[in-house]
Amino acid sequence: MVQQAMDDHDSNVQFVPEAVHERLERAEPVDIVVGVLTCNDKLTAPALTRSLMEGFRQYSPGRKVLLVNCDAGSNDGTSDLIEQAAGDKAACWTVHHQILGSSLHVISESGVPGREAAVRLLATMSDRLDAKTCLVVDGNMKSADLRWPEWLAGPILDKGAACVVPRFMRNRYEGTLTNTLLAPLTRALYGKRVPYHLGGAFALSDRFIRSILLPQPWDEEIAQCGIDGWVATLASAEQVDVCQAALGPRQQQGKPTGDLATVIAQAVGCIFHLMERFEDRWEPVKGSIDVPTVGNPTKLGDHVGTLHVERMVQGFRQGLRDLVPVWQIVLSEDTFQQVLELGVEGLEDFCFPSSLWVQVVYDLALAYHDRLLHREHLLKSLTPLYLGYTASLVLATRGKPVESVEQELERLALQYETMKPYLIQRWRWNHE
Amino acid sequence: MLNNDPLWYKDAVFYEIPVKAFADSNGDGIGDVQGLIGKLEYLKWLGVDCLWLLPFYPSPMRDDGYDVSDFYNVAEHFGTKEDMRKLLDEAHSLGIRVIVDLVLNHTSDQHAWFQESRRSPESPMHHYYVWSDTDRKYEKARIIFIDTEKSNWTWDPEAKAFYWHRFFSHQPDLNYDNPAVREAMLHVMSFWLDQGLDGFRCDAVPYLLEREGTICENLPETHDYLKEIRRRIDEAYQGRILLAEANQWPTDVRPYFGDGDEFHMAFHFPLMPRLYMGLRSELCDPIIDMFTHTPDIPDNCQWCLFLRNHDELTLEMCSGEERDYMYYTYARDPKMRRNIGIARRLAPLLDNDRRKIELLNSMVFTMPGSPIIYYGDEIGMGDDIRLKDRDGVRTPMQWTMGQNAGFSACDPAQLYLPVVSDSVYGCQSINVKSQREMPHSLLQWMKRMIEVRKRFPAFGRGSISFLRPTNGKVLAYVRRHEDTALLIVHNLAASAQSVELDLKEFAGVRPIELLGEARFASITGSPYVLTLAPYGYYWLNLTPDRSGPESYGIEQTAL
Repeated sequence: MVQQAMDDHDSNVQFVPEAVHERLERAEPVDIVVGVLTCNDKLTAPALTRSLMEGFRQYSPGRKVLLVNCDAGSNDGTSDLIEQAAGDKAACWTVHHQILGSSLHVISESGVPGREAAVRLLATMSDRLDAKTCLVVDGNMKSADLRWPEWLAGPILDKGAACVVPRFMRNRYEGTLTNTLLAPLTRALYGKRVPYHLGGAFALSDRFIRSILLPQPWDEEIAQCGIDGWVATLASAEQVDVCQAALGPRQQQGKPTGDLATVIAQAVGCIFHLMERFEDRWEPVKGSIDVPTVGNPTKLGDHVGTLHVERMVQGFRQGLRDLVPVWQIVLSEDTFQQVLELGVEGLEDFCFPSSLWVQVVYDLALAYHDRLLHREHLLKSLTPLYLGYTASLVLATRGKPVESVEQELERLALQYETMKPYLIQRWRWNHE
Repeated sequence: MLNNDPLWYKDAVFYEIPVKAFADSNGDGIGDVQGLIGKLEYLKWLGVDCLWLLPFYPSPMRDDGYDVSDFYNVAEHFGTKEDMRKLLDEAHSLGIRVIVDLVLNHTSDQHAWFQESRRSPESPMHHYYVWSDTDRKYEKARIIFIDTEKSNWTWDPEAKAFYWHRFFSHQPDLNYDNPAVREAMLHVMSFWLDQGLDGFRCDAVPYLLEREGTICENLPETHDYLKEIRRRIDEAYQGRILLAEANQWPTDVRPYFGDGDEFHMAFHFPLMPRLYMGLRSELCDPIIDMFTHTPDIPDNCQWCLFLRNHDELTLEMCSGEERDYMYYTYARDPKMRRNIGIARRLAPLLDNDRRKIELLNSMVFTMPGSPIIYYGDEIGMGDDIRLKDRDGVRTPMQWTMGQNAGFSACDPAQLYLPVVSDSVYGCQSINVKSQREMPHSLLQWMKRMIEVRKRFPAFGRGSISFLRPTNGKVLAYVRRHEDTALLIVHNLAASAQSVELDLKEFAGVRPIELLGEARFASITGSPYVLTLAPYGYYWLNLTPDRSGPESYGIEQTAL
């Protein structure tokens, strides 16, 4: 263990750019590292910086804060503007992280390529500077306010939490992948009701960084899964205290996203990948518990954007036409038959039962584990099924109050927990 | 359940089955109706809409059942009438229709009608057939089976007269100048339609009547009778169809549609060899020329398109030069030739080149008409040119790599014909089971094409307009129906080709490739450039998207 820790330490040291390394050698310890990840974010990053710095001055005036702008090569003067916004009173460094070719294909909530390298660099710097906490905030956030520093750093500095994950205010049909898969699956697996809102902002304690985050393999797998999902899953899976910070609405400037199949493959792939590592951890977990909340918790908003439910059902049917051979491989016979039967229903009668959806997700996790198919293909084959379930959720609740959506999502989350033995049994069979 | 559109045949994909060759349920070595019932699930899976069964009537089988000896029964080795009714019920429950061959022109010489007819000139059935004291009548009529027949007349020692036959001498022609014959055949049709059949493929219809001084084909009196049949269908059997086998030029076939009051469908015989010609010559002209010479047909009528069938690839509708070219390029071995044609299956004709097989199928699936798949061609079955007559393309269906290709549990020596056993086309290489399991097999590709075709009525009902790019190796046409416009492009060449298409009228449209749903570059006022792989093809939807961006509304907020 000692040798392993030393190796991890050495690899993280080697990872730090020489210029940063020299600067760290000369630097004094700090209490808090605030990392702002940017890539051509001159429109938002300066205001965000001012908010964060002012927030820290108000929340914790005695603590020493280092602002680190981790920039992916902006050519719009973002870094200069951040330094100006930080002012003379705050220490502000600009660093540049490595960008691996593999990470260019990753969907980044913040649009910052090489995001995993940026987080690793910030964590390493935080560790070297003996900071008690490290905040990671996306430079394209427009909705940060003065309370964010307190809500993100407070649970760590004042209450001993290991990790603070964000909880944003969402409208009724926003975050459908998060609400119908990522969050309830993580909750059923590890027993913590984390919102699994990826990106925006999160905070890590020094212990979490040192004993959990930095020892990660830091290979291409992390880049492909996305560091936000990786951190959220680690926080759930590891035996650490997690807190959620209700940060209000999430408003971002020019949020780039990939196609839906890629988003799904990345986000779901992260959870499936880590399921293998943490199988001893999640198998014995039964039920789930809330995690503490700071900030302003809110219910789902009632706004409904432009949804094309008919198109979603068509997308599902397109999958029935194109992906039957794939689904036949990755789904159990029972699940597959039930999915096929959905193809004959008309739009108004279309109903994708939540139990079937959970079964689909568990079957795909098993197929991923058993490597029944090229993993990316397998994950992308989930897309039409996700469209089908989402369409069904919208059809069932669109005429009803927003509470019915929340109730439906809670029922779904319980379904994941109730049907967990289905997953465990099959997972175990494959070991025998 | 069956769809109740009276024009269902315009969108349908047909599948031709010789019952004896498809599946043997009782282990006697001959396929039967029960065996076929057991394979309906497969046909449903493939996407077939309508089966065309070759004759299953009692017969001495000297012409593969086209020599019928009893129109009212099912040959014993195929099953019973009860089996047929069960087949129809089960097929209908799966949404599959069934039409059968009706041999109108002639019977077997073993048919009771002929036996009675030859007995005496005074017999009430004597005039069911065409008798003559001389064999010098109707001399302008050609001999069709030139390999085996020297005359259309044969002397019958019992009747002490010559009888008329356009095909084999054991197949005397019925005499449609006799009202009793006309009524008898109408009765036969009603009998089977009452059992639940969905129509008939009417065999050899141009030859029903004879008139001195003519070639005895396509006579007006023949059309009169065919209209009589159609009236019976329209009056009592709505939704059933008549499909004409008239191996003629399109202009000569056109009258068989009448004013929409004769046949619902007719085979487009001359197109078939031109597809092969175009492919081998790498030029689209033979194909476009054939459509140029194809007249419009009534709205309620449809062409039947095919690449192969149970007969030889007929070259009757080819000029001498074209025929020589076809023999030279597709049948250099004389054993491959039968009558005026080539008795080979699709895959061997195309050197088992998957690209060419896909290309020709793509053409048949996208040109105006309804495609007919010959059993086994969906998996690329081979043939056996050593077998007599056209038996080489009528060998047992290859279901598995097991004994007798899964066709029958009998001793291989009992099979009606041997299973193809060579190393390329044998059942170890080519069979349904393996291809169903392989996602990219020819079978899966066929299934996919059928599915896509069904999504667009323009394929079955749309007009066609050929684009004339300067690159003559590329065949491009637009199919239009209501608001839909589909651009179909085929590269007939063995090398990659680039083509510039004039698509100005679709400026602003972003074509969507139908098989992969991929979006292509938007069309502008400039020539639209496409590049095609060797024997490559595109099915592109040019219909303007009026629904806005293809978004689900959840992509940006999924996480």
